[in-house]
Amino acid sequence: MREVRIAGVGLTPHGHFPEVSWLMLAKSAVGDAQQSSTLPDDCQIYLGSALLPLVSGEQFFAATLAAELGLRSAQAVDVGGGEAAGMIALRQAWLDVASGACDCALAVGVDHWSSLHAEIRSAALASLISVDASRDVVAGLTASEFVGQCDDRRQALDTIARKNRSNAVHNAKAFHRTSLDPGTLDSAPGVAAPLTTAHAADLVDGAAAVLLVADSVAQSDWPVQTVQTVRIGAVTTACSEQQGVRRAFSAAGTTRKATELAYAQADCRLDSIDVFEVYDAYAIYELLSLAGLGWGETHAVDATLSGATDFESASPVNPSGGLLGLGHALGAGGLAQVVSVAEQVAGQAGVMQVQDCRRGLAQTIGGGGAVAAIAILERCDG
Amino acid sequence: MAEIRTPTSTQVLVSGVVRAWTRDPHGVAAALVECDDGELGIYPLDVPAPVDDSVFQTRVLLEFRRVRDSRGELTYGWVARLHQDQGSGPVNSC
Repeated sequence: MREVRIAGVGLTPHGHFPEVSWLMLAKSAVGDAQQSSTLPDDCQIYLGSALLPLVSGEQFFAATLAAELGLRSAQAVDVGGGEAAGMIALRQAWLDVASGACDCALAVGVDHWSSLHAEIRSAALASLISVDASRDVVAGLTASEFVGQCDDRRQALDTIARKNRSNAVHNAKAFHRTSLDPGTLDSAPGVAAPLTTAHAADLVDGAAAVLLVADSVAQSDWPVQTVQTVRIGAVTTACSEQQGVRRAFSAAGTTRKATELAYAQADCRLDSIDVFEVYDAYAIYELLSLAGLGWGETHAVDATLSGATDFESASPVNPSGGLLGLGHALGAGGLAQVVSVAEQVAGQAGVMQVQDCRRGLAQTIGGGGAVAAIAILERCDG
Repeated sequence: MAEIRTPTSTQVLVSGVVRAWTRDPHGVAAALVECDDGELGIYPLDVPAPVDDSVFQTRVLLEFRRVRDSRGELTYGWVARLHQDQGSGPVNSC
């Protein structure tokens, strides 16, 4: 396999933009990733989304984007996988470049919540978890089972909500740029006990793009880009071994499977990761994600409560604000977190920059844990 | 899961244990129930309000009857009814 570098990343502001189409969002993210470079005609495009077919009634989004970008020879592929779609698109793009099938590939994640008709929103979200219950209820039951009667676990949910919202204050792309004050946290309406709106990411419109090139191309033909010093260490996906309802409650287990593959592929360990961006569409999933990444449940809770996942700590988790701060553009969510990690590893995260960050990990899940995806990015000095 | 014979009948079909419970945005208490046959399911929890954490690990019987779904509409579905004789209370304390 060839070494693959990130030639550029793009992330749109996240929020509610009913006047902007999904295509405009996707083009904006790709434009940021592309910067001054010209995409080759045969650049591959993998486009991940969770809800676009329900938004527009179409099926060929990648082809539409390729035509809009003027890529006449592009292989344009639509990718599913619910909330993990963007990260799965990244894996496919990486495989194309790493295998030598092409020298340049784009992974795009995009969703446009504002365009989804209000009457079908509940059903659309339920389709993301493949369980006969609402997404909120599945998250609430997941949290309830994890928390039980343990006050420290319940407090960890609040700590995550406060931490990520506080981190997002510095993120210019974030939907939430204000901290959660204690009063707001205490009085937040319930979503599904023990979770409240403070523990749940707002669903928003947004897009993310990651442009990959073969190492040889990056070093010879490609214009200098801000994140070209970042290479892909690993991009892995895993499926839950569970069936039926159990599949929607297997976030930690599926993450663990993808993690083992990722650490082996990148030849690294948990303690050599400098920054983490993990799935936190509901605060409970940050704990389960960390557990699956090798922290274990108890340590994930203890670390959260002790500040060991704060921005200033040795292992900052979601320094961008995560999905709780950024807002959750569903199929774009995981790829948005890859963008944040890429900027960290490149030393381009501005006021959100984690010191001495050379290796970072982004993780997401789809379907409550039916699938998990992990990307490990590393700085290369050449 | 046992087959549904008559959707309108109230029928105890399977027993199980509450692994987790929540209340959805419409106020309907829902339970994650691990049935004795190993199946895991999500069901409305039929207990008088207010539900509290004492339902953890409590035995329930599953019935098929008319309930309100998560959008508040009447429909037929499975309901987890607390088994009065075997309720064991919470056991998953810290």
